Amino acid sequence: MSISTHATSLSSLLGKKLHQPKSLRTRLVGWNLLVLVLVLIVLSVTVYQLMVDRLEQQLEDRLTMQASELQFATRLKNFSFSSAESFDWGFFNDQVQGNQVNEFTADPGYIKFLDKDTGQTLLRSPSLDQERLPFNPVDFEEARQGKKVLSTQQGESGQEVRVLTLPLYDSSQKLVTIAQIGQSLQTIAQIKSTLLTVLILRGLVAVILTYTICYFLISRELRPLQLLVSAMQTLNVQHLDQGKLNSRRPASSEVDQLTRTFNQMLVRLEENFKLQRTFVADVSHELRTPLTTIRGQLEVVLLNQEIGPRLRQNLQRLVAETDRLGRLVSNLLTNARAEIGQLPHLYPKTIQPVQLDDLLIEVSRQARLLNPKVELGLDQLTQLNVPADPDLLKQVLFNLLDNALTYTQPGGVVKLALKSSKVGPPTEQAKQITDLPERSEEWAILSVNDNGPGIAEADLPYIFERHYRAANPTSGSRGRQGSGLGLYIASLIIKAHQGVILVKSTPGKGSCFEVWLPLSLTEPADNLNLTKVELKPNAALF
Amino acid sequence: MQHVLVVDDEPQITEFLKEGLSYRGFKVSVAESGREALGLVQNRLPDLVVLDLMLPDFSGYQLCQRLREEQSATLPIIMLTAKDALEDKITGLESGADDYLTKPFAFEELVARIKTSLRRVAALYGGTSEIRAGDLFIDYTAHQAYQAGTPLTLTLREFELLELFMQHPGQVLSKEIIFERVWGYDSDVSEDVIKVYVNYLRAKLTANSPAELIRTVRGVGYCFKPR
Repeated sequence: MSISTHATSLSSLLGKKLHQPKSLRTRLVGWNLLVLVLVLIVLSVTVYQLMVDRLEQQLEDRLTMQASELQFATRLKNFSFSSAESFDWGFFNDQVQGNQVNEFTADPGYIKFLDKDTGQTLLRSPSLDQERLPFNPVDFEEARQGKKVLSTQQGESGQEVRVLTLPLYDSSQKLVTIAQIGQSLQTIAQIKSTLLTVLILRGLVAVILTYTICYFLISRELRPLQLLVSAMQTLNVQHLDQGKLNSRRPASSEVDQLTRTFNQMLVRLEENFKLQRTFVADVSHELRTPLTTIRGQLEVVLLNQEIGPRLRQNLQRLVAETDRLGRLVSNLLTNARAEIGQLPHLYPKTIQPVQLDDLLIEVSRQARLLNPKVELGLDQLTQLNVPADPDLLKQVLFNLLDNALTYTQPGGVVKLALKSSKVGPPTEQAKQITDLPERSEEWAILSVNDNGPGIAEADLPYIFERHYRAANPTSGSRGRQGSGLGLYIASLIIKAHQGVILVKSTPGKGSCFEVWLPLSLTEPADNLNLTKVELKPNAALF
Repeated sequence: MQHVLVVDDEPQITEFLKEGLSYRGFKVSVAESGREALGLVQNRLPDLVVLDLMLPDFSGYQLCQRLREEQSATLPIIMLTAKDALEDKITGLESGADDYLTKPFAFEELVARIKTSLRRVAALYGGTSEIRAGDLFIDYTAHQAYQAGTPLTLTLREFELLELFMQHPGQVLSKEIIFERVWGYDSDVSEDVIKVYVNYLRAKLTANSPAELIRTVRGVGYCFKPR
């Protein structure tokens, strides 16, 4: 793990929009770093302040000591004069020289003697690199009153000097001269800047090091969570038990607990799904048996040639309505299965070559009775054979026909047709319904045309959605009939066959549904069982 | 008269099946359990069995397998199922059923499937293994038709249509009869359908010899005249 990659990941994270949820790892690393930076700042400021105070204190102590020594030496010397001329050049020169060669103070101090009346410089040590300090009358006056005054003065070249101004007395307590003892602050300034550099650089190193270590450790700690999330994302309703996580290497107690809770939840889900599946199968059986009986009895009665035409027509209507009821049960069951993730799909063993033209003839024969007032006719019929589940295809055709026959007014015409195409369906429209794999083979096109009211353009993108019922584009009323499941289920089934349903419609003129089926399947049918439950994580954890 | 055995524990269903199939010209016997069915089959082997998946004593699959193993490997079996779960379909077909129908089914469709199954068996194991008419020849064992020795590539419907014509040379066949024999149900489906398929067949036949073999009899149907 290199720092540069983390730096880029960090910068990319910072580049993200603020309202986007940050990953848990970023947040944890971020908080850790924030705390570290705060602690470092507090510590650094304290250390820095203490060091500087200490150094300045030392310097002042030295100045005060020198001042005391000087005052003491001056007082011991018994001056016996009272005028300005009587300044003892020899003695004071010694003081100045002595100060300069003090081997214990590496930094140059300086001493200056000022005339006690005029404030003019009488004598000065040659140290401080000839630095000239301006005369400070305030300090001078205070010193004349007998006080020791400490101040910081800036030399002409900008160097800062700590200066102690003090009066010197002779043995008879008489003011002899005003002395100034100075120490350059340059060394302290150097120490200060070094200290600051060291603190900041070491701080930065500590931050980077902590970031790297935190990133690594937190990633390691969050790994079980990541596994949990990916397990949830790839959950398969058919095989819930395979989604179970093993906690061989127990991480933290929280993650361990989460894993166990997740596994428990899976077990409960599995039980529920099982229950629902059995329920669906049972209901299916319970409903179908009486429907079969009703339909069969009606058909057997119809076999009797002595039945009058009017009664025959009524009985045929009953057969058609029973069929519709049977299909409604089928659609509801397909929908119930889809809701628990069991989408209609093809098994290699249920796929058989289906002669589409025959299927169309058979379906049109049965669907004719659904709405006798609408003419159902066969258009162009090409002999085509596709690999498919015939029962599912029949369900699709009936759903489409039911839709067309329901919405077409009496006297209208519904036409079924079958043709082939060397070119695949127009992808632009097909993309809206299913992800179409790139293919270049022959296709069968089953079409259901009607001259009913058509579908408004605003409704077109939604008609294959569950429970969607389009409004009548001419009257504006919502569709009353149907469960709104037919087209949804048709699209699911066609998707399972790697095909597409397209719809074209002109309000007032009619609609055309086209089912495009490939003449050969590209993938082994087993891979088509896309029965994944899609769980979208609310927040990016990692 | 062909004998169909119906095995189902729902009396309402067996009742109408018996009545309807009898009307359609089959001799029907009914068994309400697997055990009863096995007993009936041992007495007299039916031509075809219509079998419900859910039986009180054992499942349709088991009965299907036992019929296949103990009685006849060629006995056509049509499975009826109220569940359309894929697992059921697969197990049904794997256990040896020739066909399956999901409830609720159209009675006419069941009749059509029964006829198809019986025809298949008759063609495979029946007396005649070939039929000739003019330069046309059908080999049933290979399910292949030839014209003047050249194999024809026919779809199932075209093959059955040709077979029907060859079985009745020189006869005028009405559209109703053609539809009933080839598609398995009498129906008022537009007559154009038959015209379309006759034309498909004609196109494939005349591809080998230009003579008009299948003549349209206006208002009645079609007539096949072999040379």
